[in-house]
Amino acid sequence: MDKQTFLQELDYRLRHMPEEDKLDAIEYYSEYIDDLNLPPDSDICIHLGSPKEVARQIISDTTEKKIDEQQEKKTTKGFGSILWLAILGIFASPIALPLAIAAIAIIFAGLITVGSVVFAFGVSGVACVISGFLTTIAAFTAADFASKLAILGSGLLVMGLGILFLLLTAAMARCIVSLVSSIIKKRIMKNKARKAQVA
Amino acid sequence: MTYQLTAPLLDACVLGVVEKEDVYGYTLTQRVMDVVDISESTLYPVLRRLQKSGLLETYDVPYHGRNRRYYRITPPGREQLHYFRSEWITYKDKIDSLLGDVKLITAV
Repeated sequence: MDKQTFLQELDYRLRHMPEEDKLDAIEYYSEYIDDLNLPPDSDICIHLGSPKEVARQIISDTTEKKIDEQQEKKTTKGFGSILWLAILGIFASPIALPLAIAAIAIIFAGLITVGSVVFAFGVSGVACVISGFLTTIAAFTAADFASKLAILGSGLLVMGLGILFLLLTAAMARCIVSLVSSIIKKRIMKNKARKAQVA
Repeated sequence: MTYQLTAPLLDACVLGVVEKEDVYGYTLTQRVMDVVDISESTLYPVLRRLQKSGLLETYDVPYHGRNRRYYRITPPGREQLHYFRSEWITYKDKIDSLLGDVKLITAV
């Protein structure tokens, strides 16, 4: 990639940055490429990486700085711009835009599916407990002793199953919450480690 | 290099180089790259950040029909560098106290 193509693509990748920041970056890299003193026709990307990578570094650094400022101030001011920059960061990352959207959609769908299953378990549990309870009461109205005993037994059995269902639901919900939070935590740690590594 | 360079340490290194003499992007990058493992595009965001927080300032010098942007340390930059240095010494001493006598090992 030659200088002009490189700078054009960098300009394009930084198009959502404030104009002043974008120009500063373009000037810096224009100068840097001149200083590299490469023979014509040599590939700039070997030295600097692709314009995409360079843009990502600039954008992610700006995002990190904003978040740091945010943490210092402890206010919600500027949250919109952080969100905006974070979205930019996602778009500038190596994943192509459609892939990113698809990935988000899949994750979202997965969450809804898992949530529905847990919800269904919970509802079944509640239903079992209620119907079991009612059956247990209804047992006393049965004609003879044997049917009373049989209906009472099945009522208690269903109620017991319902309680098991509810316990299972609670366990699943807890499991999912801790799984999701650990994934998010890991992601954040990984990002931090990558930033810290710098190179 | 086994040990990773953290962002504040990189800031400190850049301030340290610029304090010695004013530099432009390319020479600064080469100088830092000679010592630590960074890529050629690592330093721009660092320089921009230091400039925006007023620790560095820039001026342009014409060179072969174009401009070269030089970076110069500001008084707050010097203060920050001073702070970074004292922090580094504290950190280094603490790690040394855990690692044991470093000089002894290099002598063997």
